[in-house]
Parts: sequence; structure tokens; C-alpha cells
Amino acid sequence: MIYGHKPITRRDFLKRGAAGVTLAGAAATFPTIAYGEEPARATVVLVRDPAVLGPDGAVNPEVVTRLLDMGVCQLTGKPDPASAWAQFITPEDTVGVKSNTWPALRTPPEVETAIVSKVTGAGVPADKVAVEDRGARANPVFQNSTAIINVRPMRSHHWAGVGSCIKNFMPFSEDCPSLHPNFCENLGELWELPIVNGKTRLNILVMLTPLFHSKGPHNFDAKYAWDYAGFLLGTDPVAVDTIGLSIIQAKRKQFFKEDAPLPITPHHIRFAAEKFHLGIADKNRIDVKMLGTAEGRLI
Amino acid sequence: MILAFLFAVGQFYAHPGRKVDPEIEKLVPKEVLGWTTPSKDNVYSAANLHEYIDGASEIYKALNVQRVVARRYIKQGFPQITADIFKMKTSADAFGAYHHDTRDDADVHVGRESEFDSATLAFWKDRYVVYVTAATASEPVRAAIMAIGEATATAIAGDAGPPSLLNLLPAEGLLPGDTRYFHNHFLLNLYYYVSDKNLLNLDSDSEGILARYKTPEGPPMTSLIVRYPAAAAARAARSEFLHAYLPDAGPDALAKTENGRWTGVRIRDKLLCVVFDAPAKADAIQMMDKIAGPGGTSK
Repeated sequence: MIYGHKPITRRDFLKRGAAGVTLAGAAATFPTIAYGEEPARATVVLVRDPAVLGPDGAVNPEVVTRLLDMGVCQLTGKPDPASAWAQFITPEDTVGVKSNTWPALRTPPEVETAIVSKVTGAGVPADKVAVEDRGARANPVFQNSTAIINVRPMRSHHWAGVGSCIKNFMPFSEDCPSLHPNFCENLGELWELPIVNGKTRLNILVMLTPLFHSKGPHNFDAKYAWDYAGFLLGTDPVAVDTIGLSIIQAKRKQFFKEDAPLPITPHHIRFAAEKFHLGIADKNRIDVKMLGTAEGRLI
Repeated sequence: MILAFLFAVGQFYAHPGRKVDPEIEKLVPKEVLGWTTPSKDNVYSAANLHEYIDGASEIYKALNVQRVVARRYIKQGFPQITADIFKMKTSADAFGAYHHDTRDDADVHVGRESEFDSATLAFWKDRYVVYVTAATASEPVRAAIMAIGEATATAIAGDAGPPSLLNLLPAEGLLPGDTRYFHNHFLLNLYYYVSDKNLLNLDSDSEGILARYKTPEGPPMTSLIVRYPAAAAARAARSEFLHAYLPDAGPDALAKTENGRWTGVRIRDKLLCVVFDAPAKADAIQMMDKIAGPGGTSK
């Protein structure tokens, strides 16, 4: 059989000392692909407060706003929320807030409302901001957008390993199944679509009740979600996803009481870095700034 | 009759998610313990299953899903219950779909094999794999879920068994609940990453199982068995595997890999057997002897 390149096998990973790490789906992750022009380091902010979740699981909108404000201030180095949000959004912008409405674990409406409030507070007219998920590609605000804020919950995923910031642009594709091969390795190409290319100003990975394990056709069982009560924020979606993934992995180890890597390695994250030059997946090059509650942080 | 057929086809494509499948529909009860079905079923084919379960559809497509019916049940004051009935091409495929998830809970005796985990009943019988689930399962909800499942299992008249390849697995040391079934190398890689290339020439005409065995120390040993349509295909796969994965193997087709464990390959007629991660060479030989028999050949 003639191959396009020498097959990459399990043994190649073993040679790299990866024994004991799940290798499922890691196939094309590690071909040598040169990095393009990209920042040397990335910054991700983790901000947490248990008060964001009520005893019944209700999301506290005031705490959401406070946490997001803390996050953007830390990310920008600005002293107050208004000037911090102004680093991302200007009054001239048309803003699409790319949300996620997966019924079992959607972006909470309280989070969407808080973001819209911040966008309009930055001077954007209400008719120039829209929140959408699956309808985003057809939404005129997104079609005419100059800026996108990408916000969704973190969860494990049967086929992509995890559903996080990079994968959240799936609805912008005209042919979603075309991105499924080899465990969604090419999700990074979504970010090159004209409707989004170069527009994403801020990525917010909702870590309020992340899902760390998938079972059954619908992926969701409340038994495998937990109250983490936080958000990850950053301008680099790959870096944000990388840190979110490390938290999921740590939770799996805690829950299963052994190393329990995700059944599918979400190599689309690494691929987004190495093939699509979308950001940084090397944790050694990501500065994580942590605010709020330290207990149960898992980092 | 032709007009009626064309009308039916037209209706299906006009409303792909709303077409009743009479064969599956009659398997599932309309009403159970006061739970009723307020709306029509949603019906999916392999072509549009992703509209219902996103990327998880790839797993079922790889296992030859034919049809899926999703039925919703409601009862005042209780959470909604959903029954998802997956009709697969064969009972082996139904086994594979059921065992895509690790099954480590006690059998609840619905269908061939079943499990009640958290708020979901999963079982398979004949060509069907069925999931009945709710957001939470108080005792009345659990009773309704079980009643739906039991009624469905009873209505499935056939009782074709699991893949016959299972009969080749030695019982001693087999880790229960962790045996997988597959046709193509994407699913194999999901369960046990071998290579980015299809070294074993797997396709829809081949079928394989993967099983794990406990070892005295360290990670489990993995046994892979593939049945090809013809002996020549098995021979070709062995040759390809030896070339790409075990180039350092001796005449016995065994090699010590980078993790200090042993991997070997053997064929017998249409069967190919690979043992990964055996603690010692003798363990690999013993396992292959049991599976492929003394008549097997490594050369």
C-alpha cells in the first residue's frame, strides 16, 4: 500500500514516552508542521466563585457579570470593566455573540445577557449585536459583523474529544459532517471562513458546570457534570481550550481514581495550533492567571 | 402504487425528521404508567442522524445504523422521558453500539444485555440498541423508564446474538464490560490507537473485536481479532502490519515495543489476531495460541 507519508503508529508515541497516555485519535496530531507567525505566549484567565451557582443550580446574573468583569480586567490589565471591555469592542462594531444552545448544557442565558449588556455598554447599538448558535451563519448581524465574542460551555464529546471554543464555530460550516473525519481534526479550518476570519475578539469558555465524561448517544449524564463555578477567558481560542481540557482531564482522574484520559484525544486543539496556526496549545507557553476561589481549581 | 411510493418518498424528503417508521414505531409503547407521547416521533436515517446527536452519529454510522426513532414521553409533574431506538444492520452491530460505552454496572435484565446508569436504561436485543432516559430518575421515573424498556424488549421478536468473534476470546483474565466491536479503523483507533493509516486494511466487509485482559502488573494486555472476507485479505493485512508496525519482529512475528511490552500478530484462515502490550513474550504467544490455535501462522 502506498501512503502519503510514513504511517504514524502507536509505537511512535511510545518512543516519545507517551506510554500510558490514551492515543485514540491522536493520529495526525504530531506530524512536524512548522509554526507560523504567532505570539510567543498566550494568556488565559481563570476566574471562579461558587456564589455564581445557587443551591438549585440557578445561575446568579450579578455574579456572572462580576466574574466576567474581573476576567477582562485581568486579561487586559485595565483597572475597570468599562475600559477593559473597550479593548475588545468599540461603538462602531457590529457584534455577533456566538453562543451554544445544546439543550443538555447550553450557554446560560444569564451569561449571554451579561455579554450583550457589556457590548451595548461599550457603545454598540442594540440592533448591531446578536446572540446566535445554529442560526449564526444566516443571521444578518453575524454576516455583517466586525467582531465576534465566542462563548460556550466546556464538555466532553464523543467524536471530537471535547466541545469547547474551537468547535463552537461548527455552525458556520455549510457542511458540518465534512468536518467529522478523523475525530474532527480539522475544526481549526472553521476559523478561516470569511464570516469569522479575524473577527473573534474574545473567547469565553463557560466552566460553571462542565461535563467531563460522555456516555450514551446524547453524551450527557448529569452524573458526569460538576459545579466548577468559573470561566476561562482569552483571546487565543487554542490556549483557552488547552487549559479547559487540562481541567477536564484532572477531574476525570479525580472521579475515576486513576489516570482516565478522554477516550478520544481532542487532537483538533493541537491541530488548530500546528496546522491552522490559530493559537498556542503548548501549556508551557500559556500563562494562566487565576482569580477567585482556589479550592477545587484542579490546576 | 407507483404514485403512492413517489408521494411517500416526497413526504420523507420534505420532512425527514417526521416520517414514521412503522417497523420501529410498533416496538415502542405509546403510553406507560401515565406517561404519554404528545407528539409524533422523530425519525432519522444514517444520512441525517447528525441533526439529532451531532458528531456521535459517526459512531452509529460506522456500525451500520439503519434507522433511529426518538419518542418523547411526558407526564404532569415529572421530567420528560425520551426513548431512542437505533435499528442497526445486524445484531453484532447492535452489540457494538451498546458496547461503545464501557459497561460496568450490573445487568438489569432487559433485552440481551442492559444497564441502568444514573437516569438512563440502555440495552440491546437483536438488531436494536435502545436508550431510555430522563434528566433525573426518582423512583416513579425509574419505573416508567424500565417499563418502556421492558415493553420494547418484549416487542422485539428476534433474538440474534452477539458477534461470533466473541467466542474466540479466552475467558481467563478478560476485563468485563470493555469489549469493543468495529468494522473500520476509525473506530478501532477510537478504542485503541494503532496508526493514522489503515494498516490492517479494515473496511465495511471486515469485522473486529478488541478485548482487554488484566495482567499481574501494569496496564492491561489488549487482544484484537479481525475476520476478513477472504484469507488473502488476512494475509495482506498481516504483511502490512508487520511492515509498518513491527519491522523489528523476528520470524515469530513478535517484537518488544518501546514500553517494554510485547506485540505479536498471527493469522488463521480469514482471521487475524494481534496481541498488544503483553507483559512477556510467552504471554503474547499463549494468547495467540488460544485465539488462533496451533494451526495459526505468524509467518
